Amino acid sequence: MIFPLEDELMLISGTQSFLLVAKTRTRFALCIETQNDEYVQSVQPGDLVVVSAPEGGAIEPAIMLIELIRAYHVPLLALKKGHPGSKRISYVVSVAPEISTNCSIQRGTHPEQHLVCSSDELGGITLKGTGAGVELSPVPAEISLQRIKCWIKTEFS
Amino acid sequence: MDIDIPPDRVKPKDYRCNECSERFKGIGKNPICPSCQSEDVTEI
Repeated sequence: MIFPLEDELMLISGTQSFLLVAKTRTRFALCIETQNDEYVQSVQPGDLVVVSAPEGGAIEPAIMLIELIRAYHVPLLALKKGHPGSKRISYVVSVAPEISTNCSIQRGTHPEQHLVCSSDELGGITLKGTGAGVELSPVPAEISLQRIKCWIKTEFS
Repeated sequence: MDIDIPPDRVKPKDYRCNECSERFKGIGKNPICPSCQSEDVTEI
């Protein structure tokens, strides 16, 4: 199915976890930092940013992560395989034209952007950015889809 | 749980920016310089 999406966010909710999806607005160079190297991925408008919260939690950190990447182009950090900090990562993110969720990868340790770590219930979904929105395949029966609009507002006093 | 992702799944190519001379390892089509955002780059 294709979920119509422009500048909003798409929330894919399971019973205990969620994915938050957005499309990038501009072309930019995304730096991916690993223990020994730096890779530079070219991001095109309409590519996807997918934040996964395998154990659920608040949605606001996921929104912040998306905006840090698509608006501020902050680098991504990938831990080395087996890093003890992996278990403390509650939100992970990938950026690519097409991203698949996978429940069998170690969080935060793979620089490959075509995969994102997910819970079991949201594993096996492929998300693809299209001109009309985001294509999901397959669509698990137990999930719910919502469109979210949000603004980051700063007031100085 | 973990799965083995072959290390060659990330296949960067080496580039040099013709605008600012930055060297970088690029992934994907239409590489962009991370320093000056130029697309005027050459594979080296």
